[in-house]
Order: sequence, then C-alpha cells, then structure tokens
Amino acid sequence: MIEKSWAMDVRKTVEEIQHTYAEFTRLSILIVDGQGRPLVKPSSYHPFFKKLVDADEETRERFWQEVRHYAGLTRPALCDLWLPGVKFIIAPFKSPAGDVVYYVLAGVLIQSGTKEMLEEEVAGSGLYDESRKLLLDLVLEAEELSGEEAETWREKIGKLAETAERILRSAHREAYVRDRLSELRGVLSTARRERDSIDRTFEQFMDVSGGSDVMGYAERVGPGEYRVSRVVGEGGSGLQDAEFREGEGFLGQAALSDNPMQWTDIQRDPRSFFLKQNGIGEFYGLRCFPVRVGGEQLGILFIVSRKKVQTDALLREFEDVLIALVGEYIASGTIEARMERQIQRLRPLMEVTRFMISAQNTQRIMFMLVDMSLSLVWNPSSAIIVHESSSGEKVQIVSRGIANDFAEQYARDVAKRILRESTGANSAGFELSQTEEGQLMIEYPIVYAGKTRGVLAVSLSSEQEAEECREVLLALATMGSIILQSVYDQQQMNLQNERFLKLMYTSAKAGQDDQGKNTDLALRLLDEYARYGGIAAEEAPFLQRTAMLSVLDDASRSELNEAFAGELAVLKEYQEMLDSEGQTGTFSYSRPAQVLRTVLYFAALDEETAGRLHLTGVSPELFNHFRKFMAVRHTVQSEVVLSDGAAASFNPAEAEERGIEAIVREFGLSKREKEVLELVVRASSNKDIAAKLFISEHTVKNHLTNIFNKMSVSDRAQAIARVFNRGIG
Amino acid sequence: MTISDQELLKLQMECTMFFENNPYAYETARGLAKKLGRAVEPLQIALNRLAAISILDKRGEGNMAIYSYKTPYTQSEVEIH
Amino acid sequence: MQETGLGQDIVHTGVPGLDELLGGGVPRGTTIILEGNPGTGKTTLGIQFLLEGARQYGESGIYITFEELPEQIYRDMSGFGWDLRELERQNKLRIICLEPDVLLDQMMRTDGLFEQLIREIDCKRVVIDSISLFRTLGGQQTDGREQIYSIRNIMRKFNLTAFFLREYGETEGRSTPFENYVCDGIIRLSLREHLEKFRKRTIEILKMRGTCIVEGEHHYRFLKDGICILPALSMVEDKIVSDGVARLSTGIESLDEILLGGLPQGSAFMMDSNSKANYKYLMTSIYAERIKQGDCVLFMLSGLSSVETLEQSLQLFGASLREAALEERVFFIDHYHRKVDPVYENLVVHVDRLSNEEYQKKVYEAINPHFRETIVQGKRWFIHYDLNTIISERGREFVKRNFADEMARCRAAGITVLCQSNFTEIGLETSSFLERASNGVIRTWVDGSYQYLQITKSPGGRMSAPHIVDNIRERPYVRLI
Repeated sequence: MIEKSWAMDVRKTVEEIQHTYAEFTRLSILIVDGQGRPLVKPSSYHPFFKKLVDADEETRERFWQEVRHYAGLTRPALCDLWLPGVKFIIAPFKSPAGDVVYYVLAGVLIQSGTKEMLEEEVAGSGLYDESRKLLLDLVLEAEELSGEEAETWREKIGKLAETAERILRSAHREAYVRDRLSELRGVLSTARRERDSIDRTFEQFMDVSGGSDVMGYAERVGPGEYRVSRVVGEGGSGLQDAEFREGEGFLGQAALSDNPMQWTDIQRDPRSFFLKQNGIGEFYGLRCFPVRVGGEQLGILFIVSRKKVQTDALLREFEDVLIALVGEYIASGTIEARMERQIQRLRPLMEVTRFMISAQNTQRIMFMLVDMSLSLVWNPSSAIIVHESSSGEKVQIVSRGIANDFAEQYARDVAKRILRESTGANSAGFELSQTEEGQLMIEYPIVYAGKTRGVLAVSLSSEQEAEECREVLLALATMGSIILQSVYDQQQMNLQNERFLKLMYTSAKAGQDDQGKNTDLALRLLDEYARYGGIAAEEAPFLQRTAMLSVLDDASRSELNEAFAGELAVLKEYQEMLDSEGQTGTFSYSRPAQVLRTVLYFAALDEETAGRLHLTGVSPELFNHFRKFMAVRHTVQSEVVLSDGAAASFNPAEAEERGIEAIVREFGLSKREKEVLELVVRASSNKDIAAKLFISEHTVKNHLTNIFNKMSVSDRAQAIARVFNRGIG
Repeated sequence: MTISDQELLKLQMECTMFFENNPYAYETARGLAKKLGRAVEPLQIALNRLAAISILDKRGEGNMAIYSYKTPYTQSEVEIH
Repeated sequence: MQETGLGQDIVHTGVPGLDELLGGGVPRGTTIILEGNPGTGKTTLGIQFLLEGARQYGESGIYITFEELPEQIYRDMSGFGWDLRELERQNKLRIICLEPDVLLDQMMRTDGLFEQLIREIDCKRVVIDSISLFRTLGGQQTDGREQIYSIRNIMRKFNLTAFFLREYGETEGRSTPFENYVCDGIIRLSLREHLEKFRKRTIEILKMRGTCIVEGEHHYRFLKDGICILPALSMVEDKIVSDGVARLSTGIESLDEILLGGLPQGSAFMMDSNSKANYKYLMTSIYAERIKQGDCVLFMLSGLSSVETLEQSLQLFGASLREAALEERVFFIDHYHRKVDPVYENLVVHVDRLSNEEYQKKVYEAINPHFRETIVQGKRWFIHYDLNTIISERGREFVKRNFADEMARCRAAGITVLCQSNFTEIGLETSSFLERASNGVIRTWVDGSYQYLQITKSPGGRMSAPHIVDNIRERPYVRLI
C-alpha cells in the first residue's frame, strides 16, 4: 500500500533532497518502506543499486532479509550487510502518524584498506552466482573510507532521514487539515440543509472533531431559564430536558456571556456538578457557544470532552467558527419556526377577518375576538374584552375562562388603567400586566374612532409565551379595531341619517298640525308598547323612523331612500294597507307593517269615537293585544297622576292576575266565567276561547254576555280596562 | 392520528366560525365533518381542543359526543366606581 | 295557557286552512305522520307548523332534521319571509341537525340534550324530518320499530305535539308500516301530474285520533308566505272562513281554486274580456250559482241579453230564473224597454229615456225596499253590472263620476258585484280607473287558438298564472287548465 502521505509532491521533494545528499556523499541512497519497497527513485551512484532495484525477486528478498535484521533501529547506524566489512548506513524515520517506519539506505561503505581482502571473501563465499556477482560489483565500486569519514556520512544520512520525516509530517498535516476542513464543511452544509435535524449535525460534527464526546443545545424557555432540548453522544441522554438557570454551573455562566467560553481540566471544579449529575460523569473539558439573535439569547451550544486530546490549533479555531455557525443556523431555524408559527396563525386570520366584517355587530365581533384569541395562544386559559359602554361610568365585558366576579374586577382595573388614559396606545401595541392573583395578562388596546375604547386581554402562562404570541394577537386586536371602526362608522352614518330624518320630520309636521300631533303620539306609543312587551325593544326605533317617514312628502322620502330602505319598504306596505282598508281577501303584510298600521290608527283615533274591532290586514291577535295595551296605558296614566311613580314598578302580568281575582270576588263570577275572562284579557278571540275551553262559540258569547252584565260593562275593551284598574288598585 | 399545528388551528377557526354563526347548533364530529367538508378525525381533535378551552360544550363521548357553542360570559353594565 | 281540566287542550297548527280540515286543531300530545314525495312541501309545512306556533300561539318548537343542513333550511325558509334565526334568538325555535343514533342516544338519557332543550325553550311542538332514517337503526328484523316507538313515547311523555315526516314512496307496496299504528294521525301530501302542464297539489288527512276531520283531498298552494290549504269546495259552503269573509263559489271548481275559494262576499270584481272571448259561460255559471244558493241577484240587461235569453242560459246551468222570480229575489235593469213574461214584470226596472240623475234615483228607489227587506232575512246580494251597456247608454263621464262611489256603497252593504267590461274598447284611462276601483279583476282573452283566463288583481294582492279556458261537455261547460 502506497502510503497516502507519499503523495506525488511529497515524493518529488524527498527525491530532490535525496539526490542532493547522494551527490554530496557520493553514496547511493534508497528510501524504502518496511518491506523494502522503494518509495522514491533511488539515487544510484553505484550500479549495484540499480541492479538491486531491477534484480530478480529472490535476490531482492535476500538483500532485504539482511536489512530487516536492523529493524528496530531508532537512530542512523552503520550496518554490515552480507559480509562483515560491507557497510551501509541505515537511517530510520517515522511516518507522520508514527505508526510506520521508513528507512533511508545509503552505501556502500568500505573501511579503507579492506577492499582486496573483501574481494577474496566474496569470491570464496558460498553465494550463488548472481548474488556473488552483485556483491563483487558492490565491493569493487565502493570507495574506501576512513572511520571518521564514515561517521560523518552516517550523520548526514541521519539528517536526510530527519528531513524526509519532517517533509512527510508537514505534508501530512496540510492534507489532514484540508480533509478535516472539508469534512467540517460537510457538517456545516448538513446543518444548513437540514435545520430540523440538529441531532444529525451534532453527530456528524462529533465524528469529525476528535475531542468531542457529547454535544448538545440548551434552549432558553423563559427569562433566565434554560432547558437542554437536544443532546447527542454517548452518555449524554441523561441531560435531555435537564433545566438550569442563568449563572448556575458552567452552562449557566455561559448563558450570561456573549462570547464562546471554554474550560479545561475541570474534573474537580464544583461548577461541573450539573453535568456530572446528569449522567455525563467525569470529563476533562467543556466548550460553550451562545446562540443569539439580535440582542436575544436563544440558547447555548455545548461540547463536552471526556479526555484531553491534543488538537491542531488551526483545526480547533476552525471548529469554533464552525460551531458558531451551527449556532447561527439553529438561531435562524428558531426564528424561522417562530415566524412560521406566527404565519400559521395569521393565515387563518384572513378568513376570520372576512367573517368578522360580515358580522357588523359589535357584540358578535367581541365574541369572535375572545374565541379567536383563545385559539391563537399556546396554552389557552382565558380571554376577556373590556369595552366602553355608552355610559361613561360603565364598561361592557365579554369573557371566557374567567370567573365572573373576577372578570368584572379585572374589567374595572383595566378600565382605570387603560380606557381612562387619553394618551393612546403603548407604542408596542400591547402591555403585560399581572393581576392580583398573579395571572400574567397580555393586553391590547382596541382603538377606533380616535380613542382607546376597549381592551382585549389574554392570559398567558409565561413571558416566553407572550413573546411568541404577541404578534399574532396584535394582528387580531388590530383587525378587531379596524372592523369595529367600520361598524362604528356605519352607526355614525345611521345616527347622522336619523338626525337628518328628525329634522325633516320636524319641519314637515310644522305644516300639518293634526297629523304631526298624531305621529308624535304614535312615537310615544311605540316606546311604551315596546316596554309593555308588544314589540322587541329594537323594533321600536325602526317603527318610529317609519312613522316619521310617513309624514314626509315623496321628494323628501326619495332622498332618504338608501339610508332607510327597510323602513320605506314597511311604509309602502302600510300605505297598501290603508288603500285596502275595508276590502276583503287574504292579506299578508309583514308584522312591522301591521304594528305600524295599528299604532298609527290608534294614535289618530279620537277618544270619543268608538274604535273599530278589526283592521284589514292586521292579525286579530295583534290588534287585540294592542287594544288591551291602550286600555292598560290609559288606566296606568290616570294612576300615575294620582300616585307618582307607580308606573315604574308596573307589571302587567301581575296586575292582570290581581285584577281578575278582584273582579271574580267583587262580581261573583263562576269558575268558567273566570276562565273566559282570563282569556279575554289575554286577547283571545271568541273562536280561540271556544277552542281552548272546548265549548262552542255560541256558549262563549253567552258567557261573555253574562260576564259583561255582572261587571256592568258593555264590551271587551271596558272589561279589560276594569280588570287592569282593579289590578293596579 | 397526528395533525400539524397549522391544520389544527385552521380547523379550530373553521369550527369556531361555524358555531358563532350557528349559536344554537348541536353537532357531532361526523355531522360537522359533512357540513364543513373535512375529515372526521382531525375535526374531532379540533373540537375537543375547543371544548377544552371552553369555547364549545361537549356532551357524550367518542362518536356520540355532541358539541355546541358556549356563549361567552357577557356583562354590559360593569360599574367602574 | 291554562289547563281547564274539562275540555281537551287543542293545538292549532296555525297553517292556513289546515286547522279547518282538522276540526279546529289536534289534541295536545298528538303525533302525526306527514308523508309525501320529495318536493311536496313536507319541510315547509313542518317549519310552518312550528313558526305559526311560535308567532300566533307563543309555543316554542324544535325541528329535528337528519338530512338537510340548517343553513339550507334557513335559506329556503327565508324565501317565505321567515326569519328562523330570529326565532332562535327569541328561544322560540331550535333547529337540530344530528345523526339519528346520536339523537336517540340523547333522547334516552335522563337530562340529555333533548330534555334540556325542551326545558330551555319550553318546547311544545316537535317536527322530526324524517323518521325514515330510524328504520336503519334497528337492523333488518325490527324495522326500527323500537326506536320509533320510543320516540313516540318520549313525545307523549313531554306532552309534545309532533309531526313525523316520512317519504311517501318508501312505504308504498309494503305492509302497513309500524308507525302508522303508534301515531295518532297521518297526513299525506301529493303532487299529481294533471293534464301535462297543470300540477295539482293535494293534502289528505288519512287518519286522526280524537278530532273530527274533513275527509277527501284538498288543494294546497305555496304562497309567498308559506303553504295555504284550500279546503275542498263542499266545505266552503258551510265553513266560517277564518278572516270572517265568506267566499262565493263561481260554480267552476278550477276558478274557485285560483280565487282561493271564490269571490269574496262584498267585493267588486271586474270581468274584462274582449269580444272574441267566450265569457258567457263563466258569467252565467257565477249567476247560476248565486241563484241556486238562494241569493238575491240584480241583472243589468244588455242589448244582446234579454230576460228570456238569460232564463235559457241559466237553465243550462240548472238554475231556474223563473222560480227565483217567484221568490222575488231576481231583479233586472233594462235600458231597452223590452216586453217580458208576466212573472218578471214587477221585477224589471225600465230605465230607458231617463237622464242620468233620474236613472240613479229610479234604480235606487226600485231596489232599496227589496234590499232592506231581504237583508233582514239574512239574504246575500249579488249584482251583475254591465259596464259596456252603462258606458254606451250613460256615457263615460257618468261611469267615471259614479262607479267608485257605487262600488264602495255596495262593499259597505256586503253586496258582491261582478262587472262586465271590455277594457280594450273602453280605453286605457277609463279602464285603469275602473281597475283601481275594483277589488279584483278576472281577465279573459283569446290569443291564437286558445282562450286564456287570469286573475290580474285580487283583494289579497295576488295574481294568478294565466290558465287556458277549456270547454267541457258537462256543467259548468268550462274549466281552467
């Protein structure tokens, strides 16, 4: 095997030096390996050497057998080969790795005055022809040297061996470093290519680097807290997930430093306790490299060496750079993963945004913000929105995962801290706060219409979590603000339109006295009817707007067409109802139109005129219910005059019950009559009463006649009014 | 059954939106899978997670589990003092 | 609602027309099977039952569906102007879309979802769409009967009035399905292909415990605000229509149908026809029906129709003008001073050679005493008003001045009026005035080889589709298809 250290350029250099020495010493020189194979071209001053090299296998072997007697030489020596007196200089030298011995052979040297004697010896020896002839040539060609001369040549050849060894070693080191570097580059490219397999990078690194036994990465998991997240190498598994704090032990110290740190010969250092305790056992040295991005410490890469290993300084330096680079890759991987997670959470936000925009309702948007923020944090536990109320002294909250009383207490705190501050948002867009219970909350102001109007707060398990979630939550809160702004704008627009409508209404009714007065009454009636429970609270303003629109002329109305499309549609129905009054047939008007028709009808009704019992297109249930309401209203109003404030606590259902009981006692109604009266009060028609009591309509009429007679009233309306009068009294 | 964070989050959002839009709906994972056009198993994970963070109510177990929207606590009249 | 302990607690379905067929409603706690082929409107009727319950009677309901997405139902029903989401917000309705096995599991649990929902919204009505799916639950042998039986009992336990929807075709050709025995009633919706283009939707009550039903097939329609059932004509005569207005049959079944039972009493209808169109049968059928029903009828004779010709044509429809004359309940206005049979002599008001004022006075004085007298007897009045004649004899101005007034007075008095005119001849201005003054317009015209009829205006605001007028051999000699 040709040693890899004998590369072509090395061989050429050694050859060159060998020739120089040969010329100088006038000796033939040969450099061989342990098996006698020449490693470079011989420098032949004697034909013998040439013959030796070219000789047949057997002859060569015999020669080397002679040489091998001197194996184990450590210094250059004058050696007798074949015949005493035929001398060679043999100088050993080592391969760069130190595992192989090479030899420089130089000869032939003959003591002065011995040539003739040696010629005879050779001739008389028992050597076979070829060898004898060779040996003879050797002797004949050799120069006779004095003992001093021989000693000088020995030293010179020794120097040649040393030089060859040095050349080999330096060439070898060059190659070694080159190869190592390329291996290490391989590690780096693996680290770059496969960021998620840091373990492989570590393994590869340890293969290449001589003195690394365990390699790992400790990740920062919280302020001042680190956890070993990856570790490879024999005996390192005990370290997995081990935690330490800043300043604790070697790793903890490294965490405080911006620069790589290195310790050796630390077997007895107490700071090594953490690593020993976690299964590393005795070790010699430790290298630590901080992994940072910007000013943020992400973690520490560390390498444990169990034994002292002499490493080439250049390589060592290169390793350090390399590890720093691996650290960079880990850092960028961490940041990228962090960003990816943000993006993952941002992406669905787009859909959520669309959904929220379509909601156009403050309450629903708040529900969504709370629900979505819970989904977006790693360890969701609770979220709350505190939003200003229309009244300045109150706030509105929507919360999940928080005890109700705590939520309210927290809301007060937030309201004082953030909502009342007029300075506006924190520049970071969020704040971290700790509740009295020690819960960490991240708080985002909801800013719209030029002011902080709400706060979205989410509970977090750690500051670390806050760092990871803050961006995506900020995006959510910002989005919420924008959408609420649009809802707000819409509301402002509606308010604007409503103010406009009111102005137009006021000016329109100035010209039409009666109708204006009636419509004003209708507006009041709608409010009261909503409180009475006849229509939903949010229906009243709608119908009031419609009523106001009814007073306007066509031109004004068409101006408001876009703003009040819904109201105008109902108004159109209302007008159709007016036109069809008294007609027969099937009508299907919307309920708002029916209510409007009824309310405006009653509002316009002169108190002296007996009202109708039916309006075309209005359901009898609605009509009767409203009539009952009017009766109650009337009695309550009279009552209010007598005893101030009675209306406030007025409850129609209770009044109804009390009234009926009172009437039953007072006028002696039978059980069945009481049942009929109850149904009358609840605005049932005769037909319904008949069905409910399972009697004929005719019988119902008879009962009613009896009841009216007993109560001395003439019709339903009066009967109902009387029931409520008693109920209130 | 493994599912990526991103997938899970997307499903969670979809489910949340579905229930916010249909606050009176009662759904099994099977039923919702049909409605949203999603595979049952990942959906079940998302639904259970939503139940764990109390966005949804869950009654019953396994395939028979029914999920419904839990309206957040709302209070519109908190005095600031 | 208070339980009286005496009578049964009746649940009104609230579906227009259905309660009439059910004798007012069904006893509370009744379970009814509602069957029909796809597209017959089971879902609509089911939802309507819950919706009307909530709207009219304050009763909350649960709609359980195994097939449709709630979204779909919300969307479909909003077509009828029904805002189901709003009802949900008001806790008046829940739409539950679960698998049958899951639902049953919850129903069987104490305090399961179903019980909780019933408590939560105080549920009184339930619709299950459809029970067909339960069949697969029990396996082959049991036919799902245990499941259906359990559900029926759960309904009874909570005193819920329920509709169980079922595909009709599913049970056809099999032995009577089990649920027919455990449920209290069966209502069937059908859609029949009829003469190619015309599809008849009919509803039939096959069985109903504890209530007296109107048998036979009744028509129903999808109106813009839901399903409306038109009880068969035999009923119209003696029922009290819910809006308190009687409908006067035209004698032509198909025409009654598109008029939702007939001409509303007290309304003024216009029959607009061009000269080609054969309106005679239509008109005559309407008078004949009035005469047969014992109503009083005032005819305005035209130049072409005399009392004699009228008598003859009425005879074709089985109505005797002569008998009615003897009972003094037919009267005539004649502009042409024609001789009549002595029987009719006192009943004809001759108005020839009279000024407009004199004409009005004479007619009023002649008819009013009869009117007062007969109204006391509870008679209904019907007037045939020939606008073509009035316009030619009294002039366009006269009509314009008086027509609206006259019609209003008739309406107030509960008199039903059918005017006959030709809008094309009268001209656009007058005809649109006439149209406004009427409650309804029946238009008939000839186009190509067909005569068409369409209700272009009605008191309910509805227009009908154009129908083809087809001649038939028997009375009433015409039908609409």
